Amino acid sequence: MQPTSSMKEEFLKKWQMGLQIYRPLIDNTSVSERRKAIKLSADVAMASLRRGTTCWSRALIQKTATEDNFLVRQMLSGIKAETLMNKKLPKVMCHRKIVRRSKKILMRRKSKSVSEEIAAKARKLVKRKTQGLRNVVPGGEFMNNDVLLIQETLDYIVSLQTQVNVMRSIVDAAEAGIER
Amino acid sequence: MNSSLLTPSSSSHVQIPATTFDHEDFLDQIFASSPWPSDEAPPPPPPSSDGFVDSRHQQIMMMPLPSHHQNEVVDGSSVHSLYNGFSAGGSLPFHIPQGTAGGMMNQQGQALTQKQNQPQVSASIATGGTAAAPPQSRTKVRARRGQATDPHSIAERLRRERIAERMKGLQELVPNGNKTDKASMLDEIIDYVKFLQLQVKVLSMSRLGGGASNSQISEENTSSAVAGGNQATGNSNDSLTMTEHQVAKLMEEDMGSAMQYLQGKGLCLMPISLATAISTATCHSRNTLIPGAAGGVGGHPSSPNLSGMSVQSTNKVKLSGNGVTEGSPPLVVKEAV
Repeated sequence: MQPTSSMKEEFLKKWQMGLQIYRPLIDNTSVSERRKAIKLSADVAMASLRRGTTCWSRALIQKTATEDNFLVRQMLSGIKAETLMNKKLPKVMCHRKIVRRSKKILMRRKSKSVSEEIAAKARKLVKRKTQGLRNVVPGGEFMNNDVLLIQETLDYIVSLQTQVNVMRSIVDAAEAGIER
Repeated sequence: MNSSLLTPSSSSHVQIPATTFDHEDFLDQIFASSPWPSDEAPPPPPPSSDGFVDSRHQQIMMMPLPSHHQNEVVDGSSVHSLYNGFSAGGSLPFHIPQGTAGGMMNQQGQALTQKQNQPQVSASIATGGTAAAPPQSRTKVRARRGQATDPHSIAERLRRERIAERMKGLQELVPNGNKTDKASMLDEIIDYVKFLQLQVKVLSMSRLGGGASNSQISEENTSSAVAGGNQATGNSNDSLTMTEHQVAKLMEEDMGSAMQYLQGKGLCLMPISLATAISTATCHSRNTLIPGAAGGVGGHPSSPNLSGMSVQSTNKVKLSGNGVTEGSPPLVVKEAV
């Protein structure tokens, strides 16, 4: 699934709405502030496209809420903001460590053959990679289910592509305007 | 169910999920005769053209068949084929952990290795008691009776199916996603997500502008240019921000895929010297953003359009109403080429 133009339009509108909130502050802020403004509003716009259906969008919104609560509230008018922010993220992270530790203990007792060890190493490798993926995708730590993780990743990638396409188009348009 | 990629084999018994596309078939042919039929089934069906998905399904383990299924290899030896279906799709498709109760067939291992080109396969097939007849490589995998109806294995099978489906979708989305290996596929996915995030960051920076911030931006971009750029031009890591680090790492890990991404996006890398030359040549007051510099690793097309992440974007967004260029807030600012 590739980003569609309707997705892009929607994203653009929401993003503009978010940027408008920052408008009064523009002239007096530094580059990093402005970049932050852009990034945050774009992130919230991107996440709001999904209307809270996906895990990563909720996590992303909550993350930006910690940085700029006001913006989030404004952009997600009313009800949605409350429901999104009050959702408790599942606390399963601690379980993982316990499971891992107990597995390690168990593994020590088993006698291994070479092939078993190789298989175990392969499994570990994949496990590490999925952990890496969890680190990258927002809210990934809470996706213990692999199916869910991959699903979310797919959706997140599409949304990122939308975001990048829109931003790039704006840059192009701006350049084109300048050149004339 | 607790599904981690490392789903361990459930018990000392053999858990052998059937291949997902054949399971109705298997169920039909399952006998009640004994939980440990002495026959062993041959390795999984031949890989189809869709190597990735199929390979994942081929973690099979063969299930012992009752003696009257002659097409299945085995004979009436008393060897159980204990294969554990593990790693629920998590691990590389071909490795097969040893069952504790019995040995694995040598032949099966060999047959499997023929079919699969993964080194782990051969290594992972244990030697054990061997059945007399070598397994045919084309016979179907059959679920053992008792295991097929086992809710765990069914659930696992289902889960593996789902993962396979989604991986397939991701394959189409991610460039260079033709890897059959789950680990490398995951690598690609991670790299691609990081790349997109970095692009967003750079693009959001590229819109900022104004006279005072010129130097700051060009500094930032110079450092990113250094980072993203040529290894030969001596990138100094001191001044790198975290994202620049990311790009550099991406480049180091797999220059090929990084270039591919850029190519696909219509971006170009250019040597820093050229970039600075152009930027000074155009205009001092304008803000030129030239992110990655770089060693054109052999014949990378350099686009004439240099600003920001230059792009020949074929799908421009349909600008509605007042249009983005005028209507956009002052944050969007002119860049000069």
